[in-house]
Amino acid sequence: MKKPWMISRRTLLRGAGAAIGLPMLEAMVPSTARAQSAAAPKRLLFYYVPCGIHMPAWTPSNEGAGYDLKTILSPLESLKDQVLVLSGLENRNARPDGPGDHASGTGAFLTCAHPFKTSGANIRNGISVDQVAANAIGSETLFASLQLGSDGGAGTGNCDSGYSCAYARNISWASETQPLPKETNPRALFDRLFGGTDPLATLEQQRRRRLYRRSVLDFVKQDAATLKTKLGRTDNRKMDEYLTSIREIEMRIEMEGLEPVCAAERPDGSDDIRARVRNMTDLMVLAFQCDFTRITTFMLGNAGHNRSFSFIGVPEQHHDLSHHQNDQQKFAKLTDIGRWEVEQLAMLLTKMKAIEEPGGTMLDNSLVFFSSEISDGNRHNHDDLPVLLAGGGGGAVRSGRHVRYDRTPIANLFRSMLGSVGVDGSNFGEDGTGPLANLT
Amino acid sequence: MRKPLTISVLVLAVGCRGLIEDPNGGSLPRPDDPNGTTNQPLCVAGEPRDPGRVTIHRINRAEYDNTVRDLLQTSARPAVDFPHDDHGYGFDNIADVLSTAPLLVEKYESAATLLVDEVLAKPFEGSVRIQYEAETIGGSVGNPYGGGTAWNLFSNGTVSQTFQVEIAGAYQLSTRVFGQQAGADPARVELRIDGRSLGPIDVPETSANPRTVEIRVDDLAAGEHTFAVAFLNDFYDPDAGADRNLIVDWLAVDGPLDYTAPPTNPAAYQSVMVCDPAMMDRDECAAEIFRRFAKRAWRRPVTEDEVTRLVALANIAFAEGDDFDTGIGLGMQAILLSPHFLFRVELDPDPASMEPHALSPHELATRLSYFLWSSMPDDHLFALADDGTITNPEVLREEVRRMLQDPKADALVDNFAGQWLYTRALDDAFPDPAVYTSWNDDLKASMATESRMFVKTFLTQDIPFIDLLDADFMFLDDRLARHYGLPEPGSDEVVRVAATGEHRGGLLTQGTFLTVTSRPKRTAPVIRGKWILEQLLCQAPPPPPADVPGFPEGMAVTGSVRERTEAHRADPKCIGCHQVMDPLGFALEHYDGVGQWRTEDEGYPVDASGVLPDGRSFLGGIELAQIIKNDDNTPHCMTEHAFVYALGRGRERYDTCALDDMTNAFVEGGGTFSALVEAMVTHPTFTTRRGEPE
Repeated sequence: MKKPWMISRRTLLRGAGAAIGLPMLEAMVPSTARAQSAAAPKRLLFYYVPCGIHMPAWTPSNEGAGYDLKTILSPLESLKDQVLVLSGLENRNARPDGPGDHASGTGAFLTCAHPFKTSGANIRNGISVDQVAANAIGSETLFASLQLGSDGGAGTGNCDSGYSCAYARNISWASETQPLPKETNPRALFDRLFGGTDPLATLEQQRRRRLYRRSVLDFVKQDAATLKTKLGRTDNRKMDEYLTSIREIEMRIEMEGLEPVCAAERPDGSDDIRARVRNMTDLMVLAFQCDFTRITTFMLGNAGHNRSFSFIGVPEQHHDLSHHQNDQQKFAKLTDIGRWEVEQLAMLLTKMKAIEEPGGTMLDNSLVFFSSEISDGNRHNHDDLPVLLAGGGGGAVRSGRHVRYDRTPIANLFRSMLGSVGVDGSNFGEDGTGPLANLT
Repeated sequence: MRKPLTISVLVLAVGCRGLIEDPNGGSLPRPDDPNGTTNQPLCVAGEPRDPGRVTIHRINRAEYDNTVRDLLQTSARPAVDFPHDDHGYGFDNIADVLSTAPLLVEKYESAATLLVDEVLAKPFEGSVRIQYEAETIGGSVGNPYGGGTAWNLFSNGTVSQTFQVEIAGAYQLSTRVFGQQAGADPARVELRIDGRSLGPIDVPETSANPRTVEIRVDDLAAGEHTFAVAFLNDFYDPDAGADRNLIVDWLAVDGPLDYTAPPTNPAAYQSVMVCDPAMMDRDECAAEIFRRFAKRAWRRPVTEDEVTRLVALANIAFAEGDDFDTGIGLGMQAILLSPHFLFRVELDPDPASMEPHALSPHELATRLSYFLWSSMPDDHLFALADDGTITNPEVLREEVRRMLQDPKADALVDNFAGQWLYTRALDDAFPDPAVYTSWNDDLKASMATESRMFVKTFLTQDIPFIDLLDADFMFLDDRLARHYGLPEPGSDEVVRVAATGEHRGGLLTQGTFLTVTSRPKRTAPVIRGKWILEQLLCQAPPPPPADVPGFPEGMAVTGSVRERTEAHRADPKCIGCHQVMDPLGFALEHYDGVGQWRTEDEGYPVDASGVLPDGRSFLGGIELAQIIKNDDNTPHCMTEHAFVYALGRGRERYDTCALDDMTNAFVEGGGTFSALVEAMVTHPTFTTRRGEPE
């Protein structure tokens, strides 16, 4: 039930001029129990970039607190104290069977499982780290987790050497067999976040709307349950995906009266990649700020993405360039692309750092993981991955350092990240051996 | 029986083994022995084939939009906002790959609400009230009252307002008044419509308890009307200090009353609302509506149990006091969110049995319509399914010919050809304008239209499908003709013209293909060659090892694209595949990265000659097209791509002989696209299915 003085989200939406990312007004602080607790929520964000990184322009030459920022990491200058550069981590299970490193590396990006090679039938991967967290703490927020990206996916062809596009386009996996697709349109994401209850509706109208939605969901659930009894093994799994999704909507309906209030302006509909990433970045921060979710994944392109970077003077395509053959000119262009990608990350981190919360800034209360599906574009190696961990995780890490590991499973880092949000990750990742050492 | 393979046998001989290896390590099924040591046919005509099974098939984005278009006569395209469907086997309609995540179901729920609202929408929900403040209107006599919050008629006179009636019908006129009482009688007021009195009314009330007078007028015509409030009995006795006045606060018009507006989208509304609850039992009417709508939406007859549940759902709205349409809308939302709508359901009598069984007539009609239209069956297909005649192969063939002529068959151009021939990739092609100065969106649009019209011709006309490679007609507008260096047809619209066959004619010489298989700044003969092997010959080479050098872009190796390509494949571990791939691409070197004819590549003369390992040689794209057209793999490969698309599943080992059956029937049936489709949809692999072991 809303307090009468509360400004509804919709009301603010109607008013012009409210800008994304403004600090929350005092009157808009939600009165719900979950947001009343003194401590700010802890969040996890996983940021993916495709085609590897030109490592010589990435890896700091020295370890510890006084690490140097090479060209690709130079956009992080003002954020250096909030960032951990982690070298020498490996995702062993990402190695494909034969060729297919991009799809396999992307499929395994957050699962640390070995994606089963198939163009379609019998897709099998593992549950991803963000979904382990979402299963444990997702019920606290309107959205258990958000899957976001900058690109939907090209309309033709196969994705990578006998690997289905399901591996190449999704880093979030709800289960071994269910990839979670991502929202790539900032406007659609905005409508999803802010499209809940109409505050102009009376309580009676809201009650009726909830009753009707629930009744429809009950009906289709029964359809699915009846259908399941007539279906075989594979079909039953598909119907389970459907039922799980219906239940998630039901849970959201129950929470709708409890929505925190928040102000934002609908993003522009620009199709330019730079505007899309900027708008998505704003909404990622907003979704944390309004406590719509605490877990987000973001893909800045899909596996082996072949984007042309004309807008930074690199008309060649990323994937083509990444097979660089040690050509100096290509190194320079890959460095430009890498730096642009890190600039996008820096934009996100800067916004998070600007938001004051109990216990510091939003960035202090979050952990942001940034990496790629491979390390070097030519070698397609899955060791010595380019890994950044930004933010403080509410005191879970001691940032502002470069730490070097030696072929340590990246699953260990994910176990530690789960720990930072109070989730038991001790079984995560087949090759994991324990929490990652030397983070604090 | 097909003739022995030519290209692939030679490829094997030089070690491009990946050509016949599947990703799981086994050999791809081949109808003829891969080692060429025996001439025994593997497939015996007439032997039973394993039809396999298709996983329960979620409709994809294109299918969702087309289906709601045909079901609800809407122009809305809700799937634009749905997450992209993942691909497998080169298509985005593969049942195993199409998953169902919360994000998607959330969008399905919003779309269902939106679509139902659109169908049931009425422009006018009910009565509207317009209120006029008397002090704003002013009276024929008097002055403002109460600090300008009302009007004081201090002698006999009127406050009068004209208003516009859009919809003829019953309206309520009302006014809020009270009297400053004096003398024997109470103040008396009269409401008038267009000068006609609606009867005098005594108003004994005072400022302490103002009165609202309401009078209903039953038949107000559309147009302008005048509503007046008149004060009838002024009384003034200055000696006694007695003064009777009428204070008017406001005048209001409410209406139209008891009015039901026609729906915004009458055709869609009528097609759903097949009965009138005023003329029969409400629940029976609702049942009849659901019975018909759910049958179309679920592509099969519904059970009475299902109808009863839907009526019960509508009754939840009725019990809340909502109207008939709201209850129907609730049921419709459930129908559109049900798995029976979102999935193409095909049931096995025993889901664990490997024994093939015929599809039900409605399942068959549904397979057919989603194959050819990416949409639900139409009334005609429903009728054929209802009486079971659709299972007759002759009826099926007749339906194929009818359906291919229907505009809905454009779905094959967009979805099947768009993905098989990569024409969809034109959307994602970004040639560098610095290199290709003539490139712009208009040119791109002309190319896209050329490709669409070209492919469409083969769907609707009686010409061999394989003529895709060397058709004697082409589609151009002036812009594209200039781009190709051909005479302008004198048209801004793309029109059909004869192909000269000199430099242009057939798919491989068209802008779309040549652009989508190029890099932003240059041609890529290897990509073109690989595309031909994969998409036309179904002889995909294996991907190169990760650590092999790529194409030298910079100044390290000089020369034409061809010379640089040849230099880089000198590596012995590359030559096996590249000696097949590259010549196919080299033959097209006269066409630059956006399909323009050229004789020089960066100053080096173009060499468009090619020799295959088996000694066959050709010069240029026109001759290359003949080589491919005459290759025995080509018709088989066409069947294979259509097979994957039609069934929405990958080609499995056990499909080998079925594909052979289909290819033979396709070729023997005249080689038209229609013959191909007829061969496929009458084959047991299309008309039957089986379960899977637990």
